[in-house]
Amino acid sequence: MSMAGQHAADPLLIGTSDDAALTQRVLRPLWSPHPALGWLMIPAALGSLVFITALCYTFVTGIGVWGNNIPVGWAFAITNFVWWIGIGHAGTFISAILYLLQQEWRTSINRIAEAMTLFAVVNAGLFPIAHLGRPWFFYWLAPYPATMELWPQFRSSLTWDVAAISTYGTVSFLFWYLGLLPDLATARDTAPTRLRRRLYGLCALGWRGAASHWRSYRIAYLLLAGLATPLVVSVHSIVSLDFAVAKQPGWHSTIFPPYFVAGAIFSGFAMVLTLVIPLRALLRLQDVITMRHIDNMAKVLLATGSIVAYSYLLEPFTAWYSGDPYERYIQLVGRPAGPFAWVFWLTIVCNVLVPQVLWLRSLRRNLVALLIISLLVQLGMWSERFVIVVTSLQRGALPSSWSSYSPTLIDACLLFGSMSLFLFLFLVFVRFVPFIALSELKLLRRKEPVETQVSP
Amino acid sequence: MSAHLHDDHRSDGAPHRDALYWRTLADSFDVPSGTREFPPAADTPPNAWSRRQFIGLMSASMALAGLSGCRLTSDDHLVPYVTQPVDVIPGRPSHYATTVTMGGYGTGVVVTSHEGRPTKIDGNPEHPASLGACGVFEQALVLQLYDPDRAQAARLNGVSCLWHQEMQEVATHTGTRGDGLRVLMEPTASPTMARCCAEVKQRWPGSRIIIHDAAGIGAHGAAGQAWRALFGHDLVARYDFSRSLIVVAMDADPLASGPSHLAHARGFASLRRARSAGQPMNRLYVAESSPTCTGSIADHRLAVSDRDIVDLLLALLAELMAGQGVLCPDQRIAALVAGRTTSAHPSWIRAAAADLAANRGAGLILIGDRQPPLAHALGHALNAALGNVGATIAYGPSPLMAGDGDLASLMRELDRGQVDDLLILGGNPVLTALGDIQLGRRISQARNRWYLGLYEDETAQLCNGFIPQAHVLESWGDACACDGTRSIQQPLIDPLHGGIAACEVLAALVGPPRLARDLVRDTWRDAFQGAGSIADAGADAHLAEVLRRGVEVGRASSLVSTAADWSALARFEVPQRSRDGFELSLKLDAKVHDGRFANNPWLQELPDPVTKLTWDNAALISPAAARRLGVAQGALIEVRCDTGALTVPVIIQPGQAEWTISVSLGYGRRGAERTAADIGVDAYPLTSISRPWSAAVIAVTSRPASHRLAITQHHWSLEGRPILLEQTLAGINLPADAPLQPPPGPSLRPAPAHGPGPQWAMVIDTSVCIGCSACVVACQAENNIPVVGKENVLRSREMHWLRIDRYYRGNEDDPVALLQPMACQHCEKAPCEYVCPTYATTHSQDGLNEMTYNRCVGTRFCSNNCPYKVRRFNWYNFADGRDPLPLARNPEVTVRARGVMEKCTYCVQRIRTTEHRSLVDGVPLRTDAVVTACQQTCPTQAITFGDMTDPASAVAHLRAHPLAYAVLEDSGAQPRTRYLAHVRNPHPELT
Repeated sequence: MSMAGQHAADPLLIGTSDDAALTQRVLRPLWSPHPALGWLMIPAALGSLVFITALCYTFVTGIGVWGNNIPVGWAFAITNFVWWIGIGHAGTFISAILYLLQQEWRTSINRIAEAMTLFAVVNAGLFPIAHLGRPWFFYWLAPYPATMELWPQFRSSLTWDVAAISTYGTVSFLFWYLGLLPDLATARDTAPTRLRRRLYGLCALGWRGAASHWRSYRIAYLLLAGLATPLVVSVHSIVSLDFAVAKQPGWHSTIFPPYFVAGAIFSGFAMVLTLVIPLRALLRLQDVITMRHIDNMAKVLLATGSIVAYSYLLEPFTAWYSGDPYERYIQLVGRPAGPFAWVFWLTIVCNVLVPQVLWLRSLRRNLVALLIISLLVQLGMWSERFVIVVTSLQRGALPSSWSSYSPTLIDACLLFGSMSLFLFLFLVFVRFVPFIALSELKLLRRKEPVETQVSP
Repeated sequence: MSAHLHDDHRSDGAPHRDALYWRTLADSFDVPSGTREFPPAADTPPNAWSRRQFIGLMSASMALAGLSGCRLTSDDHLVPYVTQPVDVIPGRPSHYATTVTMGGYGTGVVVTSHEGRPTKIDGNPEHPASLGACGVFEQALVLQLYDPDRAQAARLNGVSCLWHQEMQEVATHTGTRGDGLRVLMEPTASPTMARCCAEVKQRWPGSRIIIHDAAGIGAHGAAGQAWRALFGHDLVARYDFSRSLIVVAMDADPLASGPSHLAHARGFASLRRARSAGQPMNRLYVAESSPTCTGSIADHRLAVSDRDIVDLLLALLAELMAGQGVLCPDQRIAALVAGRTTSAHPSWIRAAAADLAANRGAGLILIGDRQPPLAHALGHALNAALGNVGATIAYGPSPLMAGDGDLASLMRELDRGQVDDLLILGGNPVLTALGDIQLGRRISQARNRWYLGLYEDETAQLCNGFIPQAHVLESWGDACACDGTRSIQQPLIDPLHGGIAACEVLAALVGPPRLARDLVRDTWRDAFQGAGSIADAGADAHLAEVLRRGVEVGRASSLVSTAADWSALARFEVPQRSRDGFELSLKLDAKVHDGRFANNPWLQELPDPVTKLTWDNAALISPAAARRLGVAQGALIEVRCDTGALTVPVIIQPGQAEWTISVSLGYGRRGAERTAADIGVDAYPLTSISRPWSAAVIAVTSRPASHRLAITQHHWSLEGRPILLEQTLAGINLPADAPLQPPPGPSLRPAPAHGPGPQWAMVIDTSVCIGCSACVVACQAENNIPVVGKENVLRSREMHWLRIDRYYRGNEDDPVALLQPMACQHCEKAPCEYVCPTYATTHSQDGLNEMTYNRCVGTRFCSNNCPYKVRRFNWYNFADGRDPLPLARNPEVTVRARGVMEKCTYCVQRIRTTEHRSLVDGVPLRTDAVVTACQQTCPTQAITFGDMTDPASAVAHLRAHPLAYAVLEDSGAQPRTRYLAHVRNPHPELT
């Protein structure tokens, strides 16, 4: 079962003598932060400010400040939403599914992936609210006990979305925080100042490392992993139903749920790579996040990328095979040759062609190449969602309503602003939170002493 | 009134204390002071001001305040209710019959008024020029009334003035003969105006009335010249489309422009509804340079340059004489025909000639107003030779007032310095004058220039005196239709900005100021008595009846017999044989007309019936010309003509004649109107007296820049989808067992539950839709649909609930146009409904797809899932409008806020009003009792609405017809709106 056996040359942990050294090693960035990360926080904060400003401007003026129109009723906001939700998937996949499958290589990266999930969900949750014509009534989509006894319409996939995303956000947060507890306690115990000891102590919720604590912790963690696992599949399936239940040509497709889930894990792993590779270099974490981790993630990228490529092949085939003229037009003419055809072809290049180079072991171990590939994959996945949302809507059933779309400055501000917010939250996380699962690492050191002792 | 009141007080002199008068008890009876007889301060005396002084001063200032409004007032006019009249129920609109005029001719309308606010204009079913229908211009007048840019004050040399005093001043210094007095006005068929003009002429024999008609319709255009030459006097042709089986329109758009287009369209449609093979159906041949509404519905349309029409007419005559044995009415015509025999379109000519010859007395050849007099003469020759005159064409006396000259004569007089006082009554002649008249430059040669206008437009800016004009909904007046039927124009509202009617200005010139109402009453009284009737009482009763019905029914002027004097043919200029190269063809705009509606946001945002362009004009060029010039849509070209140059963006228009570049007039406005500013280019400077509607192009050069054109429909192909089905009359396919298209596949969704009572449905007959867009404006007016502006149209955010889709079939140089009004289809299994997370769009028991605006949060999922993309979203607070524009709103319809979706409701407010009324009155709901706004105004009655469960209703009958189909039937949405397949009647040899 263990993937570790296949590549004995790549250990999961390198040269750590004892727990104290490991603690000191992993928590060092909390007590003496790297200055580069601090500097990076300035543009991230400014970008977040732009994001908040653009959001407020949209709220005050109306979403006319975006480029959306009729027929393209959804555009950047929904693209961003699906993109961020997709990115979030890798976190839960790594922390829950790989945990259940006892993939120990997840240990060093699961905390980062979970944090990434949380921040991605924060971004993803903002866009559906911001895209409403009257965002101040967003709660009407939730089943709350209104005095008029008026419920949301449960036939609409948008209400499923609300349930799926809020559940996902809650479970992700609980799972992340539960895993953090022992490490927060470690931080409390090793913090250099009184204030920090107090604060981390507060956050550690009284964790003392007692056996009873560990026992409850283990059970709770396993249960949450079990709960989170179906969510990995369900959330993006439900997001895909926002499109698939519609009659709109280009959306009305039964392969959307698996296709979206594969795409989500694909983009999520790309995002983990994007975050981990620079972080690993900057904070010299090569002994904790080893090439084994990198290589495994690249393999997942290749596998999910291939599923995505298969879906891309299947979509036009199904359209052609169905004989539906509207679907055929979208898949065979509208996307490859219509307005924004270049985005379609960009998607094909980034998501189909580029990941295939990962068959080469040398490229899987080339950090610069991997970083570039992971960025391209994320660009490709954003483009894919843009293609699904916009190119379908601009070529509906009635040719008289065919139109196109052009984003505005506010659209761009919201997209790049949300990235800045994500980066800002991530930097704050790296600065203040034990971003590597220390307790699990210690466990790993004990469980697999042979491997951890092997030198590179 | 104020004058004599004023005198009364002034004669009273200084105030005086009299022992009889006392102010307080203490004052008079020595009651001990200290008791407060009045509330605090109430007994404080106005220092040194007596009551009489105060009232005197107040009355003087009130009188002045009234005068500064520059209008006369009467005791009994339109005032807000103090005591509610018995016949006025708040919340229930009143309807008034009145008349609106275009080019002088009147069209009867019925105006809906809510608590004193006119909100909607519909046709008057009793008026011969309306027959209950209404065009886009007439309907948009209601928005013009509330236009915030309307001029609001009279001025002289930049200072506000009292207009009637100034008129009297003009009258005083004009002298006894009035040699220097010129009145420049628009054409008018108003008996009152004619009387006022006659009075001016009587008082000042030396004065002249100049009539300027930018549209060149009827007596003031080429047709008028031809009739005057041929028949010796002014005539107007009346066409009976309901008896014309073969219609040949040469550069004419009789169905959608001109004073009788509504009646023409109705008549045309009556022979266009063949629902089975063998039914009588007309056939329409159109030859034109640029597509029009009439061309869109033609069975055979020929794209030819304007300059080739005369040749085409001669070829048609030649074919009729040689091929069909039709006798030529005159030898001189035969000589003309003999001179030119070749034609580029033999099959079209042969087919048309064969059809015309086979239907003698049931054919109709129409010549457009832009064609030279010779073309009109030839048209008459054709109609006369085929026996159509007296059958489908009748000539009647022209109801337009004859003037003393045209702008060209005024130009000469201005140059000679003969004009002292120039009084311009509306029409903005500085904009619309032909280019080489250069009125803008010459007008300053008149010493005193007065302009009566709705706006501070180009003409107002060059006039030292200005009087705000009363809107047609604000003033009394009268007009005649083409057939001479007289009707009365009555005001719906007090002038918002103190406007004055043209007849009041003329009356003030000759005597003491009089109200338009009195002038109109006098005219009608005189006419009544002149007609040999007896008493005043009879005249007043007659007037009241006319006022109630809005029209003097059944009083069309009698026809005149016509005998053409063909020797006049020699007087007409025979155009030279067609030159090679491009021709610039200028035309009146379908939306702003001659420029007068340029400030009307409804019309600016109305997609052009042909190009679907909004907020602009452009040069229409053919696809072939675009290839030759190497230009793309929106590219700027410079068209250099013999009369000037024009830099204009390009629209590549399928069906445009290859060598014709068409530009519509009325844009590029330079007046003070804010909405009209910076829209399009002004093509008037390229017109000339010798060629009012065209210019010879010397060179066309492509500019490196381009212009963003706000076009609402970009894609013209049907892509082979079942959207617009067609049939030909000969091959009409009606087997009941083989429907026009296969039924949709099985559905998982349950069949919709119908409640008791009516089930509303609509059927649209595409066979008769001419794309005139009257329904679009009707819908906009009825449903408070906001205007979004050019930037938002560029982003595809126009809000029209009803749009007219236009597709093309065939090759792009000579395509067949297909039109389809498209609004919410009210699907039984509506795709929009199941995706709304908040139940904001749901189905009613009577089959309506309803929007609950209050519940809408604006996810736009419904629009994304709508196969017809008919839903409209409030991206901003579009409903915000500059005051007083919101007064034009229909109070029956919710004004939608930012962030909610909206769409066609089948005029649910009308349905509910009718239902409630039938409930209150205790009578069962009459089938077809509900009339939607689009249906009401449609000139061709293409739209049918009603209860589909009632077998007696028209809509049930049409839904069951084998020609009925649903757009995108295969989507399975089961739309309530159905269409009738477009039946054409092509000539067998031309298919």
